[in-house]
Amino acid sequence: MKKLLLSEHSRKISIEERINFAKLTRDQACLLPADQKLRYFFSLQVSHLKLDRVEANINQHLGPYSDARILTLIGPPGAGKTSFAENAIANRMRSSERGQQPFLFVAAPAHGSVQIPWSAVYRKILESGQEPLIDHKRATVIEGDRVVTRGPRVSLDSLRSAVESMLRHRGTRLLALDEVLHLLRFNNTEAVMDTLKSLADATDSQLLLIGSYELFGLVTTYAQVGRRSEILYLDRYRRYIRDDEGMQVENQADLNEFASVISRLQKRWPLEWIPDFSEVCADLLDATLGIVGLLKDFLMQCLVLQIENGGKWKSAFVRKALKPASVLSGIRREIESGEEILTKAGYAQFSFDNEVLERIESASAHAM
Amino acid sequence: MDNLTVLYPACPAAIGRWDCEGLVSYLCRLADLHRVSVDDLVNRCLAVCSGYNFRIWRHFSWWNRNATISVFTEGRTDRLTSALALATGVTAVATLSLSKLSSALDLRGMASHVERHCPQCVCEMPYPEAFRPLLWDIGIVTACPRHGIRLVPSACGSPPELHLSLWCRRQVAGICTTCGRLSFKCVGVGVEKATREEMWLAKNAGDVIAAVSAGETFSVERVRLGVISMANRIGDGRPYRAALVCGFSKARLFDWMKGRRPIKFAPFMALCAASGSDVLSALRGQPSDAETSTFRYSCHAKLSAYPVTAKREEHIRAAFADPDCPSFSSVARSLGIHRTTLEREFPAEAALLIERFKQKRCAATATRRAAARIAIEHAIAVLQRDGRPVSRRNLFLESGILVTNGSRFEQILLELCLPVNEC
Repeated sequence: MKKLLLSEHSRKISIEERINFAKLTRDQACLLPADQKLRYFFSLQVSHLKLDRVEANINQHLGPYSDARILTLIGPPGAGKTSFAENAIANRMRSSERGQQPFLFVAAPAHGSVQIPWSAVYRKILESGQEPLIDHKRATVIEGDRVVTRGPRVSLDSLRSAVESMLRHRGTRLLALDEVLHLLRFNNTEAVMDTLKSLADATDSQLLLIGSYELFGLVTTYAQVGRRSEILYLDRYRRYIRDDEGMQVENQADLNEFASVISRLQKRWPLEWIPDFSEVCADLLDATLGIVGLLKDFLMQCLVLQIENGGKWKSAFVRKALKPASVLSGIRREIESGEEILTKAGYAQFSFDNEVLERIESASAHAM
Repeated sequence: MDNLTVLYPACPAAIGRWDCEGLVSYLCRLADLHRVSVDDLVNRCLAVCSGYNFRIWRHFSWWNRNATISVFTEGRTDRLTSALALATGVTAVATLSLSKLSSALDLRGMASHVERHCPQCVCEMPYPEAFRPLLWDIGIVTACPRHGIRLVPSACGSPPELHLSLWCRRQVAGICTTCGRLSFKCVGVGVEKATREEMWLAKNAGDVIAAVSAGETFSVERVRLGVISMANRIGDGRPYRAALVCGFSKARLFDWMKGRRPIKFAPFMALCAASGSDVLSALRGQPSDAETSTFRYSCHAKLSAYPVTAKREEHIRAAFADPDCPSFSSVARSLGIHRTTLEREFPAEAALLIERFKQKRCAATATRRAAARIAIEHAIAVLQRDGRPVSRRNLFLESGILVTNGSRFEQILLELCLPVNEC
């Protein structure tokens, strides 16, 4: 059988296609050709507790009445941040109004240059909005009481001005910038954040910055943005937690939720022979570091191997599908250091403790 | 993204009102919103969307030279309208010209050949919200109904040294294209109060635009009935007497009344003015009573009285004494007569004046060439000092001189620096 190339299928599924795949029953999915089976399984999105929490948070901060202009979505690699933005948010913000594009998703480019690649970023935004004539943009400048065109075509000014105009006239309410660290690693965080903030202010849109843990430190140190920004954390599932006495105990809630995710994905398995992972949920949680994205990658690899094997399941596939220990330990190190940054910075800790909240509640009760 | 249009779905301004935006104004505004030139938008984007080769229209400044497309030009207005509607998804674009009125009236010669604006309107509508009402493009309209003042020609009043190069010009409403001054501040024409007749014309033409932009359609038959009714009212039962009252020929009136040809807008307005009819109701075939006006039709602008010989001689003497060496045509224009008429009467003086003007122009060209040579030499020296290649692009970025093919700069550049990097 021809070797299936997973990369060809990834990230090329439109929202309409995703909706169509979601409507398929398992029996119908079993009848799909091999490459379509992969696309079908790849397109599946399983909602889970941690993701639902982030979604609720984002919904709370989206919209014209929110003061937060810059939202930052952080989380471990493979947690599904990009896929969540590309699909869930895009689907939620779809507009039926002609010519309007309330949500734009852009992956910040990395060009290996020594300067921040702003023109490439603006180009990407324009391309994402399907803007015509990108190579013919011209900057209009108001000099005193005169309006003139200055500079060559496709100058930085012209691209910036075109982006602002596009966001305004396409009714873009949320601009998601993925891989923002490509911009922030030039040791000029303030300039980048200033530019992003001014873009959000000029266009009356909100920005959603997506990245890993390093983004947290960079965003929080920038005071201008801190006041009008919100940080959303897409957490992973943990097998063990510490109780009130500091003892390590099994985290039953997370284990159950992770098992539920595995079970739901198994129910959509597009082959007759379904591998059963229900008995090894806790081990899978360990092997995938409690990250749903990594779990999905593992299941996708299993599916590829099973399809290549003519639909017959072998438990040896698990070993091949799992990431090697060296890769996993690298990811684990990154996650743990990221979580440490969050803990040190006091993420999700508030100035008011429970006692203060109780006092407010009792005062409110008296006032009634 | 099925519902994503190629161009922004920008709403046309003042739809259904007398000051409804014109088609070309909308096009210019759209190009400005997309941060591209009008030509790029038309030739590279609209042409792709609609499949019509807009390149054969040549440059925007060429095809828009008489501002007739906003009113109606057969073969152009409809093509541009349908391409814009397709690209923007805004169906209201179809109401930005008087195209829909073309089935009821003969719209030829209706547009103003001179671009005009209301000095107060352009100050109240600053860039980038500014738009150009279709009303300003109608030839017989000479006043602004909102401010009660006369429209003024938009020709640039800045000295030539302040004129922008073609690259730097912006084709946007509310801005002088030639010098870029906001709200046409370069135009030094004083504000004049409009007469009652001018106001009557402006208001009624505005009513017609409002009705057309609101989507109302008129039929040629209804208009014919309206013409008959108004002619009868003016002639008190003898309709052909209306021709003399209104200022057009009886033969034409006969054609209009018998449906041999559709009536034009100006004589129709003259009929309404003389009969005291409401223009809209007349277009609908049942003229109702309204304010009368003294407006009458004249097929050509009347020439002023032919100046006496002494005055002609005086003007020619003044032209000889003028150090600016005016052209012979400008002398004739100052007298209000054609240059051939003047040349026939004063052949020797005409030859001398023409020769003098040519010599002066040659000298000016030589001066300009010398100035351009110095500027290009300086720019080349700067480029060579910085180690940058001497290309047309770098030269433009350094000095602002655009060396186009066949321009006066090209020869100089070739002399100074051979071969030139063309990138």
